[in-house]
Amino acid sequence: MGVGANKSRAQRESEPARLAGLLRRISSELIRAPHHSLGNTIDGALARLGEALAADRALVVTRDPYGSVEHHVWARRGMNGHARGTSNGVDSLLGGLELDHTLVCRTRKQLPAPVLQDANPPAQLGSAILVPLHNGGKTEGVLAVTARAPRSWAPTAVKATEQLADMLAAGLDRMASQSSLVKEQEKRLFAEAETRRLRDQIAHAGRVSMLGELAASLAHELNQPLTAIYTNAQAAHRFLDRKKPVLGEVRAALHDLGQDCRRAGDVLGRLRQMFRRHETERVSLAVGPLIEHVLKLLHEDAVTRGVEVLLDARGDLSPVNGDRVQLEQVVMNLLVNAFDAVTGGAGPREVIVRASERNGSVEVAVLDTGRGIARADLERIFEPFFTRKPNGMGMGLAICRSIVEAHGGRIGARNRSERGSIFELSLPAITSAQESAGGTP
Amino acid sequence: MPARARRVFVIDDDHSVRRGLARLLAAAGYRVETFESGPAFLERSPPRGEHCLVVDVRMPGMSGPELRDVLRAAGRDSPLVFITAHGTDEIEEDLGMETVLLKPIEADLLVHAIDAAITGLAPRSGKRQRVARH
Repeated sequence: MGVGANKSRAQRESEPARLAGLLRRISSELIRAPHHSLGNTIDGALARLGEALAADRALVVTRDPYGSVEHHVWARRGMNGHARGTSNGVDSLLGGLELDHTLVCRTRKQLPAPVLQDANPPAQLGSAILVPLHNGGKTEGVLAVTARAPRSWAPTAVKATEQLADMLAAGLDRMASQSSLVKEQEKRLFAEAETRRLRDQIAHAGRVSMLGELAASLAHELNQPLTAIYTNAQAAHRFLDRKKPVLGEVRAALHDLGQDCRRAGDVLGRLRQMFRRHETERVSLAVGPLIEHVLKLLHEDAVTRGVEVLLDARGDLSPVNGDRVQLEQVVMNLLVNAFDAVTGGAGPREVIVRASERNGSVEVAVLDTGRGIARADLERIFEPFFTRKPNGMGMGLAICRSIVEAHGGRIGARNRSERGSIFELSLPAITSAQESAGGTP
Repeated sequence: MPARARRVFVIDDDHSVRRGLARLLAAAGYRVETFESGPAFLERSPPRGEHCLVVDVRMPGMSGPELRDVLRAAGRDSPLVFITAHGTDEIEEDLGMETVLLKPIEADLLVHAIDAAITGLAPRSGKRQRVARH
């Protein structure tokens, strides 16, 4: 067939192995993908296959039993002339899809007429591999890999596309069925990896208030499954209320609804795990260097916003017992709040961080020169969802308080007599006696 | 089943949300197609006949308002309803005159917003119609 005749021998030989490796990775990703991110996993798979086959587009169009059509598209960079409104024509295949086996089109002439008709501009479609997705014997979708130029697709390329089609069909089947093929252990591994990822994300916090970000992302991560749950519940009602209830769709809606409940639960579980006392690493920490580290992370932010930060820390402070990442979060959050306070008005932009020790406690205070806090707000400022910031979530200080209290400490806020406010936290100091006793009571 | 052959195109990057909306809108009698991104929708041949786009505001890559702008620049004036899981304050300027529904979405409000957008009943001048969560 002369396929790959212009490639070097080495390339030709390594290609099947490369594709096999790629498909193995895609397969394991598809198996592990949780319900809500199957779509992203499919997108990733399309991108990889498209790149590997040097195609211009890779796409999947599927139809569920009720006729709703789902599209996933990868297009090579620069391929999509969106402003002109391009169309790949492949969605037209679902109209009267008669594709029961793979169709390899080396030239435009070999493309099915409806595809060619709907492709716009037609110049974008010169050749394609079209593979039906078989699901329980019923064709319910098509995987297409297309190129702008005519091309004799290598048998390995066709085979890889067919294999991906099988995997996608199986993945979609798994989504639709009650049972999950994923072993419990794999699920747990996935959950653990997710927790680690979240922790790492927080550990590598730079410049921004990660707590605020965490709260916003938490709200978002919960809102998505809630939206899916609510829409499915409403859909189930409507299908039930029909003169002839559509029980199949009610069942499917309930299945998805359960999946999304689990997803919401997972989000909360991850959060709980992050802040659970025994899950956190408690080590002896020097507070001074911890503050300095946070200040380094926030340095650019302070410079950009014209805030002057002064650190006033005694060098001989006792260490505290705690989780470095969490305590850094607290200090960072207080500092970012202070930055916000001093940049809001026309006053001096000065923030002081003071670390001292008193009565067996290490105390950290963050002082700003902002407008201070309204007396009525002082008591509520640490409550969840209480905020005076226009786009605030009201979670930052609430999380700060739960972290500090989990460390056996206290946190409070008051106004300074001159101007601005003070946020103070105290943590039990490790005394030299405790240290020599090995830290165990 | 109401005698509607109206088509709705859902563009949202969240798989579960797409599935839920597709099912709900199918239950409400629409023909539904879903897309995981703006560019994926733009790959489809421009829809003809009565239809409406339901577009998530914040998506990676191309945002909802950006998709709207691309469509308008190409002379495509499909009726459009935005949905978002976030507040609308930060994106107020980008939203233009379209209806914005906050997630989680009330089915009746969504159906009403879609039909109003299709028939052009949504106020296209003056203050933008905003359907808030209650």
